[in-house]
Amino acid sequence: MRRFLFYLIPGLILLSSVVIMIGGPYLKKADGADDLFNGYAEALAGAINDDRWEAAAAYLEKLNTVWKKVLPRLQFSIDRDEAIQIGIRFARLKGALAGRDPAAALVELYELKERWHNLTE
Amino acid sequence: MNETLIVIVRSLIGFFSLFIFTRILGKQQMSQLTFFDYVLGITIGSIAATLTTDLTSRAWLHWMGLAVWFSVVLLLQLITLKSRQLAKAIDGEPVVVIMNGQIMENAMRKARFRAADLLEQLRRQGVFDLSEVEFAVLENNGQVSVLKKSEYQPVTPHDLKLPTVYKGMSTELIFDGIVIEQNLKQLNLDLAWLDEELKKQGINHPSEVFLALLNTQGNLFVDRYKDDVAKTVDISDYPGPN
Repeated sequence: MRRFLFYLIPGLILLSSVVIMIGGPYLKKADGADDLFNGYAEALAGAINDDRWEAAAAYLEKLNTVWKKVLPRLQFSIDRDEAIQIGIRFARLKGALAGRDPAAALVELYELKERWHNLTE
Repeated sequence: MNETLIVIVRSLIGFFSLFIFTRILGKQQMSQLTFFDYVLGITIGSIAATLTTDLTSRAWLHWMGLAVWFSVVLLLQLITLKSRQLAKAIDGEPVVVIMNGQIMENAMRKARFRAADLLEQLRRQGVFDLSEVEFAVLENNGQVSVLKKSEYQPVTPHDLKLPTVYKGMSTELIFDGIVIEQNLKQLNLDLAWLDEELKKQGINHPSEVFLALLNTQGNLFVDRYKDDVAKTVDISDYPGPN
């Protein structure tokens, strides 16, 4: 039994370390967060194209809520700079919506989507 | 994003990964390490340090680097165990630098080993006069092994044809006040015997003992927590805490 534990415990430590480090793709999809993010991003793009700025601001808020919910569980498997860049995209997107600039808003939104997609790749 | 928490988690991952990997790599002592082993150790340690504190890249990439370096070292270890030829190619071979009392200059040049290095290594071995040396071998780890001329070697009981008794390893019976019953059983002894032996030395309970060792002649060495020293020698050169 002791000999079994001697191998089991280090094995479990290494396995759990690997799970923490590469668990990002699964944690991103947990609770349907990935689908929600993509859904709100699509809705936001639609609202920007239709000049529905109040709705766009509401979708952006929901998008940000999903991001803030997902970030704590992804933080061990992503790099810090990428997380900071996503936060900056949110700020720039918010500015573009406040200025009612559809071109700038769409540029920021598509970059945000790309960064989200690549976050755990 | 809680950076402190991330560093704590990454530190734990790095620490335990390094600990497990080095345990698998075996019991090579620092003094046995070749120059390449030394460089490998530094590289692996450096990757582990980066894994811990470099938050600008994913922990997984550093961990994979660590695992690959570890795997290659393990592979080389296994190869050197199986193949003597490859072991020579990987680890190199010892070089005779003094043969029959004469310095082998060409061999030293090939090994890029200076006369000053040789003299230093000899002094470390307690040899201050080159004429005492019959053979000196530069080992793979850079240490020099010395065989003195027979007239300079210490006299042994065998030389004097004196009878000797077998001397093996001592066995720990008490460590830090706790009886190691497994060792007692291995020697076919029991607690009653131990208590009796301790009482002979004026000890009432094993908890009074820091260390007790039984040698192969059957003598019990006991060191108590309470030291019978009138005044301890202070080797410090300055006042204040040591």
